[in-house]
Amino acid sequence: MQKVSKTEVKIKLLKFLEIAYNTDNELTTVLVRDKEAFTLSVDIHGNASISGKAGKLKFSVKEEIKEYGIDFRYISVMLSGNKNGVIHYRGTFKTIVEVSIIGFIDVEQLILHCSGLICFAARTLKNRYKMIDKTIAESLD
Amino acid sequence: MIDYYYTNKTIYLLLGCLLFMSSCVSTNSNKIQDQTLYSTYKEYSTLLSGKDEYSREVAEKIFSFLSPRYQTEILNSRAKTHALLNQLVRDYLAFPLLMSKEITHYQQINGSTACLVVNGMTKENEKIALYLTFKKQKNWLIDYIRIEYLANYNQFISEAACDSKKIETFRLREMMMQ
Repeated sequence: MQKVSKTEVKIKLLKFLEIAYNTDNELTTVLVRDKEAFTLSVDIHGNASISGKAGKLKFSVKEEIKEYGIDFRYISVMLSGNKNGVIHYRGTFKTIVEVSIIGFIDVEQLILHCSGLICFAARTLKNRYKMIDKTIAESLD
Repeated sequence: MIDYYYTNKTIYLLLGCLLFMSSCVSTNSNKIQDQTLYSTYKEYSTLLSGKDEYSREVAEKIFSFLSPRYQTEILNSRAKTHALLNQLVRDYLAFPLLMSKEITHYQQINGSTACLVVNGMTKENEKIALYLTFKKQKNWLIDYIRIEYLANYNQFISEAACDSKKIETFRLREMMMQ
């Protein structure tokens, strides 16, 4: 699959939210459920952060961007804040081409995925992402 | 007072006519210029179709559509081996293959810079827009590639804009007019 396909980029975005959740589930949940907008960004070295009114969380996604090698530049996502269980987002994934996605996240599905079977699978399976990609992608549109 | 009113009205009418005429000229010249950029894009797309692996010759040909500045940025000091070219084309530069159905396209030329917008749908029936910035060298060469996956049809823009701020401005304006 091309590295600029919608599914590929969507899955990356969700993986980052999942890593944020695994790093600090309290703050991530507050940010995701908050009505205020928040941002997710990743620099060229794989240093990631999500920040909003509730606070800022730093984490690393070095492993997740390894496959892009020196083609990776940055990721910047603006998330609108939770309204009726839906977060609208506009994400830019910059490699040697720039890919933007305008879409929405179903918060309940995301929380369910990260606290239920998907996160359990993610923690216990070594080759986790291949197995959960299809399911986890369904919470993003 | 009445004279002043009619003079103003006449000026507005004349301005309106001039604006209308200039927009007609601009649309017409766009149509003529359009064939160059759009046919370049189609030629590029044709090279990619139906392939998963690209011969050295095809990969080199695809790279020849890119501006020297963009080629340098993409290669990022790496040697131009066949394996690297093939991988870069497969992973990033085969972007026209993402679009299975074209809906509209628009273009604008400003001196030595040009922009081509292609709106369409993916195989999965998702809305996709391609924004290609071109630079004039001997031919028009691709200098920047932007891909957008949209949530709604009304996010497609019906003007040529390749800069992200301009795209957003056009999008907002068109959404407000609907």
